Amino acid sequence: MTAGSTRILVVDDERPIRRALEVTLAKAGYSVGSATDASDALTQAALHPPDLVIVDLMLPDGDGAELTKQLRDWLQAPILLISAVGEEQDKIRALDAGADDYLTKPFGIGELLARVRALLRRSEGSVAGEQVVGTDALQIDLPHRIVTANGTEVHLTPTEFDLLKELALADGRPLTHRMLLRKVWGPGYAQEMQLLRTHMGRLRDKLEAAGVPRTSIETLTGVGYRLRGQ
Amino acid sequence: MALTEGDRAAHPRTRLDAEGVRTLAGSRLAAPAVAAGLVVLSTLVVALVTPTVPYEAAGVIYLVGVLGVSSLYGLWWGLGTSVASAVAFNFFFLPPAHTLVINSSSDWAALAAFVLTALVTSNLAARVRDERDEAARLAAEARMSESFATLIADAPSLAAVLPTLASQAARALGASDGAIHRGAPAPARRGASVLPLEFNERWMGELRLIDVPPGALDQPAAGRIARSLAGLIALGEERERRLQQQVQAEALSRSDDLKTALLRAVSHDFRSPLMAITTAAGGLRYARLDDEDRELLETITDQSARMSRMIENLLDLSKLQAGAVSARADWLDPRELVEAAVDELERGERPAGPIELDLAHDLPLVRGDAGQLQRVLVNLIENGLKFSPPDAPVRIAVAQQGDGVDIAVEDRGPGVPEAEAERIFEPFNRGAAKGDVAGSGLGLAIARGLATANGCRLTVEPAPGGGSRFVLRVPVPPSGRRA
Repeated sequence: MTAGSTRILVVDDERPIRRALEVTLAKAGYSVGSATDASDALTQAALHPPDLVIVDLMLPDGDGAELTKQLRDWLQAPILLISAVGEEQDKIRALDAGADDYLTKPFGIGELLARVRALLRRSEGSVAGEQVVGTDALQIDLPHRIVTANGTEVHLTPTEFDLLKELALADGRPLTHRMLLRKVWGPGYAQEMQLLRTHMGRLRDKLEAAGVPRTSIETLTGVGYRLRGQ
Repeated sequence: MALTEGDRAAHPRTRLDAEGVRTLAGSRLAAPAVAAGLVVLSTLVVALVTPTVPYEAAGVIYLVGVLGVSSLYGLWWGLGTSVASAVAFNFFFLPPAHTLVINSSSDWAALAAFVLTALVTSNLAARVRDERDEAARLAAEARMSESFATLIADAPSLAAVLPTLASQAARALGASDGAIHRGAPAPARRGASVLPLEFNERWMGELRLIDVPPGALDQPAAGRIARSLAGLIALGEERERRLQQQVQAEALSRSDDLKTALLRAVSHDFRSPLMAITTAAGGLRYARLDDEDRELLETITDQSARMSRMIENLLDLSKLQAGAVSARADWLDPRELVEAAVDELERGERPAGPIELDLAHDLPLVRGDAGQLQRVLVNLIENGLKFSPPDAPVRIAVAQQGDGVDIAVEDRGPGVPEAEAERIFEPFNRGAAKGDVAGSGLGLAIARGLATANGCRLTVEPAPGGGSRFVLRVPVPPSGRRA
């Protein structure tokens, strides 16, 4: 897929921001469509299915989380949220509804374009079906449940391994606390933050001891975690 | 319990008596006059009927008088009337007439029967009278309580209705006037009688009475009136309290709604244009620009970012001052908190400067709002970097101290004089270092506000090797301690 044929749908009710995004993305070589609210976005997406959707969390006729949910019913394309500071709960709802990533205002255009590129790259080739996932420094062998950091094996407990595996399988996408707790511990544990914090701390300790920086697992404050460098 | 006439004289009946009774009983001379009148009247009637009716039977007519007097003036006047009737009957009608001598034994029997009947009649009539009076009193008390309740329910405030309540209750007790005193029990003044008002053993005040008839306060009615008054005052008080709470809650909710709406509007209205400027300026990075144009573009980008930070600070401060900050507490790892704050600074637009970490392992988990506590730490670290010499690192140490975790941010700056230790947390106060250090002077004020909102303590002390040491003490809940 070349940039010129890649279609991005921008959903924002603020005209100046929408126009700035349209122009910038167009200059970066993407074909850009735009919508001013959720219902307009659904129509546009149905008429010209986009390869990526950029959604402002606050829309005049509903919120971005609701739109994400409606789009996710039939659209595979990645969804990037744009949110303001302090909208953590809305972000979490949108991520749980199937959004792929988010940016917090104010953000630089460079950051936006980097996220767009990463999302598009991931949507082309998924990690699903691969046996070894992870970053250059951190390799996770799924069938053998072996983690190696810079070539050395890291001994993890089953829970720590599962935690790292889920982060790696997310392929750089943010995982909310809820998502991780449900995937690693089970649906009944979605609120058990103590478990997550404690095991995440120990996992980072072990990775750090093996020469992997603690921040390789990025803390998305109030939202969740993400594995960097994928 | 039937009261003797002597008691009645000593305790004049309250004004709760039925209207008619009150009028007839008005004068002290009324009873003997009525009794005498009725005896005379009965004698005349018996004299009129004796030619056709045997005198033994006609004697019954006297009983009507006895009945009347008993029911009007009670037992003793009734008995007096019985004796007077017996004497009159004997003197005028029992042979030999016009003497008090009785010859025939059957006449003795007739007189005895008459006296006995009169006694029983008086007693019965007096009892009926007492019960009727009591019923009238209770009905009047019920009416009074009802009128009190209506007064309290309709009154704009309890204080406005107390004088009316007091004078109504005073008159009901036979006093000329009264006042309700709500403060602490005061020593009674001379000549004033006092009826304490208590509701469920709670002191509601006292009813001070003027010219109260002696003994009126010892009657059961006085106790009932006091209880009813106290209950109504308690009710009025409760109603007033509820009303006040409601008014306060409404005002509070209105002002809260206003503050929230204002903050939301301001934050949106300020952020959106800036966001548009930043995005638009970012879009120009692909334009062909010469060096000078690029410098102008950088000014736009940098200054928009700076203004954006200032707006965020102002918004945070106004939210804190409006009490609109609510902490969403969850379990946090203090180590992760510090690492995330440092990570945020290191990935920021400006170079963060050297930061040194000294984090204890196996720290207990704490509770707090992750975003807000991270903000506190970012502000503290930024403050430290601002005041430290460029090559001197800001040192962050985290350790458990008693029932809390202390996160200390140490700089090698000029330090904070003890006199300034509290003032530097005030908004727009930039401490000793002025002029050459950039900043709005809001960072520490916001840090202190957010720390407090999360139940944490933020203080500053001199650092051991010079400079300042800011300590954020985060309390550890019992279940946060690790095994």
